Order: sequence, then structure tokens, then C-alpha cells
Amino acid sequence: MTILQISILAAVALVLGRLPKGRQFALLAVSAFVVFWLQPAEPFLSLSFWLPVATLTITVFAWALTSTPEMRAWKQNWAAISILIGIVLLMDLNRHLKLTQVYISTTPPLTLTLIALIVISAATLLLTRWQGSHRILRVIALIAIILTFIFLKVPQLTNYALAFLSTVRGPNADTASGVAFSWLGFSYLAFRLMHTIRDRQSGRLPAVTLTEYVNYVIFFPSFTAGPIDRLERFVKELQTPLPMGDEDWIDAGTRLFVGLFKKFVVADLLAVISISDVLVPQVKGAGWMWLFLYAYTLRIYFDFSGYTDIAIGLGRLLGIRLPENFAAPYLKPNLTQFWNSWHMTLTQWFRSYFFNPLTRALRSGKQLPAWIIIFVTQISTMILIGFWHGGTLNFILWGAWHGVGLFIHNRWSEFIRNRLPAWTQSPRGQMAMNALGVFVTFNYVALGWLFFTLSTPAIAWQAIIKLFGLS
Amino acid sequence: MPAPVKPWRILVKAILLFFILNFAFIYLYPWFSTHQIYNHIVPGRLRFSDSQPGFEQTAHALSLYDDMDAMFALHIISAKSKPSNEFRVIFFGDSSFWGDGVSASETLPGQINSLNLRNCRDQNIVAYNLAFPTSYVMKDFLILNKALRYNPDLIVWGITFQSLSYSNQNALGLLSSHSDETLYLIHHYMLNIPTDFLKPRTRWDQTLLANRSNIKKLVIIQEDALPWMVTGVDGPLATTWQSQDNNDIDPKNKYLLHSKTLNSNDLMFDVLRSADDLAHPVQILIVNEPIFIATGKNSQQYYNIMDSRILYDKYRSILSDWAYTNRQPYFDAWNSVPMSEFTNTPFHISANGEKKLASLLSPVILGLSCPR
Repeated sequence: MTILQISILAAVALVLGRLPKGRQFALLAVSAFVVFWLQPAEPFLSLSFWLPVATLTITVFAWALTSTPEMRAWKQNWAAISILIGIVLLMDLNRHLKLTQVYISTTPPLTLTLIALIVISAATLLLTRWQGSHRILRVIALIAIILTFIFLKVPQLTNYALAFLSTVRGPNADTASGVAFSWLGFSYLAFRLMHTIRDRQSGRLPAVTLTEYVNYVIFFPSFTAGPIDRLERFVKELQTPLPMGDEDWIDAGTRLFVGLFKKFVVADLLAVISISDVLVPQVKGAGWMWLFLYAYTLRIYFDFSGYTDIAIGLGRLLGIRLPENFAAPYLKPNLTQFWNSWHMTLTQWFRSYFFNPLTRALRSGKQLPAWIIIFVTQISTMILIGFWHGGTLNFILWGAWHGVGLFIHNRWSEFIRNRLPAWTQSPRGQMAMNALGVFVTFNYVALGWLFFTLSTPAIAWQAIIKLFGLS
Repeated sequence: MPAPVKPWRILVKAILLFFILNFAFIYLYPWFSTHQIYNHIVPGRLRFSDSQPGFEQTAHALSLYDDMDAMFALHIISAKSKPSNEFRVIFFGDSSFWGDGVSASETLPGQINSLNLRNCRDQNIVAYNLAFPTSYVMKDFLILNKALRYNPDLIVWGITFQSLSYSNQNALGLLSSHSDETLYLIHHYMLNIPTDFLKPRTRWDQTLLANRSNIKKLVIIQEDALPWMVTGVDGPLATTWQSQDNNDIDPKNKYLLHSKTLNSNDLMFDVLRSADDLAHPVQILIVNEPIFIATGKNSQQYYNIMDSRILYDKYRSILSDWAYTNRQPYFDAWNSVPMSEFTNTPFHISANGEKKLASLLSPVILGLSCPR
């Protein structure tokens, strides 16, 4: 998002937050519009139109699969359906309005859009009236989301699909750019949908209307970069917005400006001197390499936490307090605490829906030694977190690096627990141990970023060799 | 108990500060743009910072064409005053003299410096690269106007058929960003150059809000000092070669001038003459830059994808006549570099090509540094 887009969204949030009536519907309309507005322009197959339509469609389908029968009444949901259809049609009509500042005009013909809307509406109606078991459909939905996620994350798969589509369309058709399948916000969308489907399966999901559900999934402040809220908490504040006193205005504004400063001043400035594919072969000298690595380490924090601050600030203007995502992660004395304070909502999601169930499953089966269970769960969780960021070997290695780090920390803590010398218990000793822990953790995390930011393991390895003066 | 915060008061203060800062900026900015990290904390750059779109990160450079004072402040020429034993040679020209595709130390001025020349008065010949990519002699004239404050002893000005042709000119960022100075030169020297794209700068143009993009560039270029100092890279290196890619000429290519005739009125000699007046008594050596001479298909009609043989030969003839008539020091280097040394355009040359040109040019420079 650009500063201009954020400023416009802040002004919109300011107005929406103060609406005495119809706030939820207005928020729904704005969020649905933003899904289209922020989608990268891609003329190939009108994907920049169809991908946002797909976002809205799977969200509506997921609601149909997770809602309770009493929440599916037409009376409660007709307004939301009308708003969503209206936004889709408005976007499609832009081919005639040509408001290119607002939205690109590569939309399909109206008849095609109308046919798609009729099919989607019929499918939604069918799902809500379905008398059979929703249980199987929910499992199918989960699998479909995971498969789509894998498809979008693995570049080989998307490139193969694009090549196939280009071949089918013939040599005279427009060609796709490399980012044709950049489905804006899908990573977060998928995790919100999976959270609701899993909670519905376990009977923990509250009953919500279509308006509430779609507002939760595509809530514009957090749609593109999180945080990943929980439905039950979000809906509570959507129904009863937090009061806005003078201090709250100041808090919201401060948060927004701190976020803008972190992202567009600190992070963007650090970007110039951050380690990159360009710098690694050019730089000579380990000292400079460390400096550029630290610059990237700080940059990614300021960039990401800046976006979180912006999301929280915008949310606050709307009377909704989004969850925190960062809590001074680089000042933590060990890797476990780091992961409890870095991208916290993602970590909590994985803990709830992968780590804890897997741990329970391993414990309930054969009597495996504890260290094996810890190793398997931590490595697999972190590799999945790596995959969530991207389906390349580098992200997998980044995840594995942290998985190994967490396992080592776990074993080390066990080993050292009763072996620490007495001086480490004194205030100064504790301070020294804490400082040492922060230093080691920070550098371990910094080295891990090499796999994250550099494009191939070979360049990452070249960087490691240079960092330790081995070249 | 502290007084409750009133948001409207903050808003009023913010608006007030916004206006104060915007107009204070008009007076503060010139100081900021000329006091840079370069030449104080890190060495100045060997050529003006410039980068093609998409190469900013690869090159650790940005074009500061909006602010010529900032361009000079970043350049090594403004590092210190001229030593008494230095014979200062300033190079102007387009991307060829700037050194597109070669590193800063391998450009023509860099190669001249590596020869460690000393003139008959035992002065060190020190070359400075003040060329700036884009072919337009008026742009060089504008830079020359600023550069004279750095006390050159000789000016070497690389020109091409394109940079000297009226028909090839269009509005350039550097000129329109310095419209006041450009308009002054055009009117003072009565140059035959259209001025419709030059809008005089207003107070608004100098505010913080109007200059936010310049400020960002200025800050980023300061940061670029670090990777530049560490890597020595300030531009992408050439990866393509003319002799392989453009030896066969397509007569329909968009770069070719298709005019049938050429006379001296089609060339901007008024700018060359005015520059000579402005620089006097400093001499200007005009260099007709080397061009790629193709040997493939259609090479009987065309030297390369930009120059037809008839027009280019006529251009050389007119230029040499003009130099002779006006007693202007002139060096025609048009065919001095072998075709294998041309990189991504018919006038960008490799480090070896620059070296070859430097070896040909150095006796001329030495000769001009010792007047008879």
C-alpha cells in the first residue's frame, strides 16, 4: 500500500467509525472495494478482476459452510449479498467509466460477469439449503484451500499453469506477467477461513451473519498484511465498537503515524543498505557484510511491524482493536521468546491448528521419547511457517533453521536448568545472561534472514562464507 | 492532574507547523543539498550519479537531475580547491563520455588519469568526468555554466551527430528543472532553442511539499554512499555487444534519421560558439565521439542503427569545416575504436575502448596544456 492509499483509507475509517447507523454494511462495501482496489493490475485473463471475485466467492462459500441454520435466513443476509454483488458489478462497469486512478479497466464483458454471479449465487443458495452433511463439505473446503495455497506458493506450479494457459490461448493472445497469480491477501485469507472451518468442526465457532463473517475475513485494515484476528473476538467489537474518547483518537492517530514512519521512513531507508542478491557478490569484507545483514534484520522488523501499526491504527479508528503482532522481538533472550513476540498472530494460529494437535497426536500414539516429539513438532511447524511465506527451498531452509534453533534451545534449557553456577542467579548475573541471550538470539535470527531474503541457497551460502571471512 | 488532550489543538498546531516548515524549507534546502556525506565522510563520486530505471539498487545510484547543485556537491570535483600543480581537464558529453556500461574508474577521464600525464610545466593532468547521460549539447552548456567555478584549465567536450542536431532534441529533465538558468543562457546568448517547455520556477516549486521527491532522492543517495564506498559500483556494467547484436542494420528501425540533406543550420553551432565565449579564456576541445561502424547487412548505406552514411559524412564535413573556420580545437575520433569494443549502443564503448581513446586523446590534451 502507498502512503496515499493509506491516507485515503484512514479518512474512510474516520468516517465509517462515526456512522450512527449502517456501519457494518458500509464497512463491508469499503472492504470489498479495497479487495479490488489493491489487487495488482494484471490484464492477462482479467485476473485482477477475477482474483478479487474469487476472494469474495470463497469467503461467502466458507460462511455458507460454517454458519448455523438460524443465521442463514434471507432476511438477515440480503443486504450483504446485494452489497457484494453491487461492488462486483461496479468494478466490472469500470470498463466503461474508465476511472483508471481508482481501478484498472481490464474487466471481462458484463454478460460474463453476470453469468459468473448467477452461478456463484446459485451455488451459495445450494450450500445454505443443503440438507446433507456439511461435515464432508467442510473437509473438502479445507483441502481445496490448502491445495490452492500450495499452488500459489510454489513458483514452478504457477509458472507451469501460466505457460499452459498461454499455449491454450494461442500465440496472438496477451501474455501473462510473472506476477499474474499474485492473489492479494490470499495467505491471510486462507488462514482466516481455515480458522473458522476448523472451529466450526470442533463446535467452537460463534454463529454470525454473512455481513459479520465477510467483514471479519476481508476487514480492510488487516486484509493484506494481518494481523490474523479470531472471529469471536472481532465480531464482538464489530457489534459493539469501542468508545472513542479524546485519548483514543490520539492513540489511534499516534499508532497510525508511528506505523507510517516505521514503514516509509525507517524501513525504506534501511532497504538501501540491506543485504541483497546484488550486494552479496559485490561486497568485500566480512564487517560490511554484517552491517548490511543487520540493516536487513532491522528493516524487515520495521517494515512488517510498521504495517501492523498502520492496521491497528486504522482498526482503532473503526472502533475495533486488532491483536498485537510484535512485542520487541529482537530484545528477547532466546528463540522461543522471539517466536512468542514475532508475528504473534501467525504463531498462535500454527500453535492452535498444527503444533498442539500434532503434539497431542504424537503423545497419544506410540510412546515416543519427548525429545523426538519436540523435534518433529518444532521442525515441521517452522517448515510450514517458512512455506507460508513462499514455496521455495530458501523459505523451507529458513523455517528449518528456526526449527533447529528452537529444538536446540529447548534441549539446552533442559540441560542447563540445574547446572547454572550460583553467580548467574544474582541480579548482575541475570542481566549478563540476559544480554548474552539477546546477542546470541539476535544473531541467530539475523543469519536466518539470509535464507529468507536471498533468492537461492547458493547466494545464501556465499553470504555465509563472506560473513565469516572464509572466502 | 494533567490537562486533557484536545485533538483539535493538535490539528491546528500541525497545520501551522506544516506551513512554517514548507516555507522555511525554501531557505534551508540549498544548504542541505550542498552539504552531503560525499566529500566529507566518504569520497566524492567520480562522475555524476545517474541510473536507468530499474537499476537504482544494482548501481547504488540515482539521478539527481532536478538539482544541479546537489549533483556537483556529490562529485569529487567539489572536494577541495585546485592544487597549484594541477592542470584541470573537465570532460562534458553524453552517456558515452559518462561511461555507460563501464565502472567509474574505467571511463575516458578515468583512463586519462591512469596515464599519470604531466605537461611541459610539470603540472599533473587531472581529468574530471562531468558528462551526463542524454545527447543534447544545450544540457552540456548548462553544466558548463556551473562547472566554470571549479577553475578548469581545459574543457573536453564530446559531441555526436545526435547531440548536435536540432532535429533530435526534446525537453529534458535537467533543463526544465533548471529553467531559470537555461532561459537566461538562451536569452543572453540568443540561442535558437525552443523555450516552450521551460516554465520559470515559482515559490511553490521550492516548497517542501513540491520537493518531496527530491528530498527522498537526496537522502537515499546519501545512504548509497555506503554500498558505493564498499563496492565501488555506481552503474550497471555492460552485458550486450553491438558487434553481435546490431551488425546487420534494419533501415526501418526507429533510431535512424531519415532526412536526405543536412546543412550547418541543422546543427547547434550557436551553442558551441556561446560555450566558447562563456568559457574564454579556457580552451574547449571538441571531440567527435567514436561510433560503431557495422560491416553486416545494409552497412553500405548505414554506419549503424542510428547513422546513415550520407548524413553522417556530411555532419563530419560540416563540423570539421566549422572547427577550422573558427580555429576551434577539434579531434575527430569517429572511427578510432574497433567495432568489437562497442557495448549496448552504437556509441557506448568498453573499458578497452575507453583506454584506446584515452591513448589517442592524451597527446592532444598535452599539446593544448602547453600553449605555443
